[in-house]
Amino acid sequence: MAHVHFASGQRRLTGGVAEVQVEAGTVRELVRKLEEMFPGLGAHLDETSATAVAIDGYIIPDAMYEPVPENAEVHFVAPLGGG
Amino acid sequence: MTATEERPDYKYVGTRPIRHDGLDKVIGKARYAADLVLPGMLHGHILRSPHAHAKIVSIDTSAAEAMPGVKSVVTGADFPDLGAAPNGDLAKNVIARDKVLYEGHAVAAVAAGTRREAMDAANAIVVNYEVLGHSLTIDQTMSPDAEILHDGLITRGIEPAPTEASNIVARTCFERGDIDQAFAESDVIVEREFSTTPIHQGYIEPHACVADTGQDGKTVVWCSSQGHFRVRSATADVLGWDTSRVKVIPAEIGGGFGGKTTIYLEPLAVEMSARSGRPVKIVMTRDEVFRATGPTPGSKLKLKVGAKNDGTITGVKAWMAYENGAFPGNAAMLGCMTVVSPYTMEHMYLEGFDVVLNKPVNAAYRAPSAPMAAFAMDTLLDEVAENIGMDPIEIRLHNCPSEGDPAPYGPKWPTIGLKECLEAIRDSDHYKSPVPENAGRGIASGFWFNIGEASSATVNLNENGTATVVTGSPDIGGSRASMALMAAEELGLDVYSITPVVGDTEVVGFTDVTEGSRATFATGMAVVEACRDLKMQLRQRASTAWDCDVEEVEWVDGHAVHSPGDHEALSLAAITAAAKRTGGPLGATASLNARGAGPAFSTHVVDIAVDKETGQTQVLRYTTAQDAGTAIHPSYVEGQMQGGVVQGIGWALNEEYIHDADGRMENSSFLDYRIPVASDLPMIETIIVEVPNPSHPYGVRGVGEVGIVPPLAAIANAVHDATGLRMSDLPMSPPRILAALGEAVE
Repeated sequence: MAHVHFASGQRRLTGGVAEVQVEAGTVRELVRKLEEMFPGLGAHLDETSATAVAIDGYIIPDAMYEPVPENAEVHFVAPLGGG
Repeated sequence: MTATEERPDYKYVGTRPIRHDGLDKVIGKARYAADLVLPGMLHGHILRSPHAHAKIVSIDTSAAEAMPGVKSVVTGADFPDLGAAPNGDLAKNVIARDKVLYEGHAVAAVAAGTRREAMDAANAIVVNYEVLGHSLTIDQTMSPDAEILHDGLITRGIEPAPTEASNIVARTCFERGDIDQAFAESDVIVEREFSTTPIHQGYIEPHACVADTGQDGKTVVWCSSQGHFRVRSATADVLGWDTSRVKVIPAEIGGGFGGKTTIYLEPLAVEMSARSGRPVKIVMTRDEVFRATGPTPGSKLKLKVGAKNDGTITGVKAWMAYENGAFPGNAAMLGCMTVVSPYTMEHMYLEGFDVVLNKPVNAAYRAPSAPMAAFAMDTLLDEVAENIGMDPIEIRLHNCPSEGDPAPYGPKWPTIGLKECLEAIRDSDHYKSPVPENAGRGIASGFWFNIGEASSATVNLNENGTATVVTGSPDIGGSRASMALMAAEELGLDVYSITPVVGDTEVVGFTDVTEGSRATFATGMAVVEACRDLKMQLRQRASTAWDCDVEEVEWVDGHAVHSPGDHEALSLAAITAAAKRTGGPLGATASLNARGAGPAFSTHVVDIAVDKETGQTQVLRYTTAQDAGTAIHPSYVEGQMQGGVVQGIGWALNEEYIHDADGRMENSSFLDYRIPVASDLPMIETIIVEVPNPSHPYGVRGVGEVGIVPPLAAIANAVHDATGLRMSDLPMSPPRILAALGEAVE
């Protein structure tokens, strides 16, 4: 089960829930299941930040097909660039 | 160097060979985009808006088109409207459509036989404007009375969503714990308001490109950029072309620092080349670079920090507004994500506002948004330390995050090296030495994420046993040397037997732009992966020659070695010389989306003297400690550290955009926009800290950005130590310091 954490700005779509546990093999599956749990959240993540996902502390861009390890800590974060 | 664990016994990694591209640059032979001359080439010039905000009522190009030498004139009407597509705003920034949004916004472009003819023709274009009200400050643009820049801009992140447009792009919020409880439990609370102005990256080479569009509908672009694949896709998008019609050849780059991660000129040159049937060159002047290319944003920050008497930070509340220039961006969000990253705390409430206003749209600048945030946070932490009588290093060590602690933006920290940076400064000769007379000392830390993203590399072995390493990352800080060193380490080849090349968009696989301190990390991973593939091929070729199982062959220091010892070792050169007989030429390609970018931290100490009669500051000594993970080429790591510091010093002490009341920039030259020069500064002392990133084969983190984060606060803290002044508005220029000294006396 992945431990999915929601930033305060995302919790308006989870009814204030800050963390859920989800069984998912990939980020795409995870987003689908989150959409089932919190209708509208999947679309929000797609639009805003799902392309960057932090899994166990490391931020991964374009992560939709990324495997989600057992007991992974998952955060959806904004895509990053830099100079 | 300071390392947390014994470095593996590398032969090449960590050495300091002269960079492969060094000689050409020293003797002036390196080719930059502006150097290129093609037969029949035209020269382009861009007509720019004199107004900060105006509707374009009409454009009459007829007089210009009739002028001598003019071969093409284009306006926004000649380019597709991309609407809300991903590069829609970029297209409108390249050339204005119905409105101009800042002074310097491109309105039309001319290609003619000479630059003079193009300039004269551009001046003959008649543009009728309806001038609108403009906003140049965060307060102005957030005001309910502000003239709206974009009619459809509804602020994101506010519930319920506003029904009317404003200049506020988005509200971002990061919240943890109970901030009111934090302040209730605090022994010390400090709060201040800070401001910074836009700062330009100040690269020495202005933007330049040459485009040659053929009758087959394809174009070749030579340009200075940090990412020619992004130039390709963005140029194609702005033109409404298929990407495959655009080939981009990277020229040498004369500095970028984030400012060359976007495009300004290329679609204009391509379109005018297509219309004229001739190559078109456009080179910006310094004035254009200042007026029309992206600076880093100005900001207005209000921070409140609570702490216990033992130095424990109880909580931080932040209100952070960042300018994004004329089009929406996410500068404030990055500010929120970085502002308290060097510290642990149970409670925080970080609120960010991105705004648009009538200035050039932001471009990245080393660790975008983080320096302003650190300026506020580390100034206040210095004030807390002063109030409770604690050493500024000790308070930072006391609140220092380590692996497994939650970062303020959510995830737990992986392996990081902030503690080691703080200890390196604490133990440095600089910090142990007494503060010079009539001077002050300041400390600050900084953070930047670093990123991975997509990279490709091809490594070809030549018949004489040398190698060519082709990557898609423009070399903006010595990355070719780093790629060669990693390849040398893998293959066991002398580093000068390797030629590192930056390939164009048609000879190497897709590679994301060189940003986020990613080139040596991510593209280096691709080089290592390709080399490891090659080593397997080399072992197989040796096994073919020896008629043995490949598992009996090892690759040791550039040689195939038969483990049972039945054959004499074969050198790489011997294998490549016989390559035709054993299966053909040897080469390997790797393409990857790099994972595991290691966060970067840095801590700085600076001694500043302040002349209280003139307000003049002088940097007496500056030392930076930065976690590089592993320094592949220490000289270029040090160069990045020093470059970041020097740019931060300019930001802190002198640099600022000055506009008149009509929104026109008044200091668009290096005479009036003062960046530090060598004679202004002492040698910047560097301490490379090495806490290896476990996700990279050599432990690389990336070093290009975090060095610019601490200087603003470190210098402000030193100025306070020297004068007693808490400077909260940048730059801390002589007039500002003198005024503050005067106010302090009154």
